[in-house]
Amino acid sequence: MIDFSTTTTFGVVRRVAATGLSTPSIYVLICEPGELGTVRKDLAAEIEVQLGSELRFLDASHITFDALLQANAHANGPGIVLLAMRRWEHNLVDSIDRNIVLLTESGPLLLLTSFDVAERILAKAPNLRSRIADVLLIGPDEALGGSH
Amino acid sequence: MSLDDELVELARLNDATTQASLDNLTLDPAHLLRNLRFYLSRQSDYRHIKRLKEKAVELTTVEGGAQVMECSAVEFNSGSTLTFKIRLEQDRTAWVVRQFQFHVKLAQPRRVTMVRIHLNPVAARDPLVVPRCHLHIDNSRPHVPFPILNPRLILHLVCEHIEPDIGQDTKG
Repeated sequence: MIDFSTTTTFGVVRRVAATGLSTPSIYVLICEPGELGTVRKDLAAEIEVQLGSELRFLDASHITFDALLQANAHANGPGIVLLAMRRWEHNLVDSIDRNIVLLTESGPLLLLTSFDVAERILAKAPNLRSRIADVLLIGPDEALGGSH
Repeated sequence: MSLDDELVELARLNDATTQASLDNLTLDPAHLLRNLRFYLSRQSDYRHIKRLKEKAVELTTVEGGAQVMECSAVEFNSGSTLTFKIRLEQDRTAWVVRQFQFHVKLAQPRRVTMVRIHLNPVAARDPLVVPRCHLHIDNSRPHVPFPILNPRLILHLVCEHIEPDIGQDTKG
């Protein structure tokens, strides 16, 4: 079992902000499956406050690689793509891995998934793995207490 | 009406204006927290304040459903410290500020040791002596009337003007 560092939605958006929206960076964010919706909401709110930008949400079970590429393109204006992968998506991960160079020509990509799926991605997608800026454990913003 | 009564009436009017300003200042607690935390992190980037902990500002729900935002301690590079607490309550559908305290302990040696900005939860019996929103310099008795500002503006005022300037020796 791999030990990953823990961060917060505040921390990860700070990191993305430090490199800028035009810099291609891929982060794999691992959360509890039941917390995915809250983490997504927190990320969107943090991105709005810190970057004045929008979170483009994509559900991995409903998209193709082309749709991902299009959402991540600079032509859409500044923004961050959040790809939520609730379960292992062989075809999509395979396409990302084979075409990773195309993804690293555009803006930041956050891949939000569970621990098991993340481990599988790291094992099965070597090209993607080599382009990942970091793999981080993330949860709902604790500073907000119960105000979600 | 006597002169004293007139002054009390003017002070009551001031408190009424304070309340009207508060009624217009509706804020989402989570959004406010994110903004204050981000502002402080920028201050940390500029080296005005020391390394900021991610949980430097926290929000808790207290009895009755009110939300209390608390910053237990932020330390400026000069050695000054800031703490603040903001209580927000739900009024029908919107969140309004009910009470706040911003305390700045200034680094020594300075001619002033402390500045405190307070919004009391309710108007005092004698608004001429204690306006609902006021400022204290050191432990002096006067409650200097202070306008209702968005907490983001108060934080900016503290970081950019009060902390760097108040009590500094201006000679030479």
